[in-house]
Amino acid sequence: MMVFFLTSIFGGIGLFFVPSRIIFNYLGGIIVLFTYFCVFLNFGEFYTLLFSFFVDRMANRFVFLSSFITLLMLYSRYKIYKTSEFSLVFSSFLYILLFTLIVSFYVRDYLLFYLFFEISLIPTLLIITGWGYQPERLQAGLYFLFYTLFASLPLLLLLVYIMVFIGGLGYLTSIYGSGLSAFMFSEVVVISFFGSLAFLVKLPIFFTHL
Amino acid sequence: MAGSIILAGVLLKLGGYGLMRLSYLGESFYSVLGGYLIGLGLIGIVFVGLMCCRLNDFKALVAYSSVAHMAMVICGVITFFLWGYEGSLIMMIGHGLSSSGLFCVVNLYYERTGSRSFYINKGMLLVLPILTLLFFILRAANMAAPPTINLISEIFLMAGIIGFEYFMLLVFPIGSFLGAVFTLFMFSYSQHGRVYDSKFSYSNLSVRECHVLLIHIVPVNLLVLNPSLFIEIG
Repeated sequence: MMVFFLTSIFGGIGLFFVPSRIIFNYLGGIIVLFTYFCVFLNFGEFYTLLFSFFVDRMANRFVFLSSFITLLMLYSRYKIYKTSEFSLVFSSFLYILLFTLIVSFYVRDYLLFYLFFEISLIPTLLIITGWGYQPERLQAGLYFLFYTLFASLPLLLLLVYIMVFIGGLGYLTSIYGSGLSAFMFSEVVVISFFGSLAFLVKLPIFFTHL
Repeated sequence: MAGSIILAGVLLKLGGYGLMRLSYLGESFYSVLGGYLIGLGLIGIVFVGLMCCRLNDFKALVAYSSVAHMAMVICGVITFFLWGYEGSLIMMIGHGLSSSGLFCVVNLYYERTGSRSFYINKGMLLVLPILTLLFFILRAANMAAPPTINLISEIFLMAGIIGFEYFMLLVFPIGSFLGAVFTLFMFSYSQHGRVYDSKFSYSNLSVRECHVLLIHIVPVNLLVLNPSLFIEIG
């Protein structure tokens, strides 16, 4: 616990070096720092009006990582705040990306996770295109976007197919239900191949994305 | 630079997180393709490690080492052992922090020298020794040296993967060793040696830049003191 406290205070000191003409950064940063202390919480499943959340400790670690790195990115691009007028747009894109990532780690369904997985590509593309460094990033960004979308489209079809058979798509549905034993072996091959292909392209494995 | 940090730091982990959540569907999910995917991962580690030893571009080297680490992650998830699973989780966190720190360092050298090539960023130990220290600690995290959490993750992954198949005892240490090889190669090419003759002045490291790198280093090195924050044992 002390370790988290120390690292979060240590990281939070950096927020004060950002120029104060953007108060938005302070508010967002304080909210993000708050997520550091929530790593131990284990709410389990809970339902709100819009989404149903699944807060377990595994997701909390990724939320910690995402918010930490987002704060670091805000802190490391110091020149944006001095020289550019689009600094507010840049930091707002970062916060939008962080928000979609946090929601994608906390949702309870596979389908909602897929939705936010795809949505998080768009702010990334905008950040790379708008504030990147070399000219090849434009073509590389488009290439990256379409490659990921193309490889993860079978995942969408697959999730709908599984939904028809199992009846629900929560993370724990297959523990209480019959899981993948509802399918024949040939279907399990297809399911595992297309299901993992989407994520294997995202994590760059040797034959995909290289 | 910010885009590549967020890409390597978080979005790759989104893919790994998806694979881990898909494994909740049951053991039969990975029973069919598991062997092939582990083979693909190990080929990824070894080939990427070998390829990194011949690169001369900083940023490409850090990006390819990300590929190697993520290949280890999927190997750990597919084994379906608890140790492999936890190892891949901790590796994702440790890699996210250390890899984004390395992109920051590469960007610092790029801002000063205007190039990302090894042949131009030479002899930096004489010029910016503080950056040498921070760079080395981040590189130590990349090659899974103690006391970083990357060491814990490599140990757990090794236990998981070797438990899956004893043949991995020959293949996985080669990948790990090659990671250390290109890491030290990159460090020693950029720090040791004679300073590049055509550049005469380097701006010194500001507090902000040092702080950015320290923010990457401190969690990676301190979280080993209480790993039960991240590891669910039993």
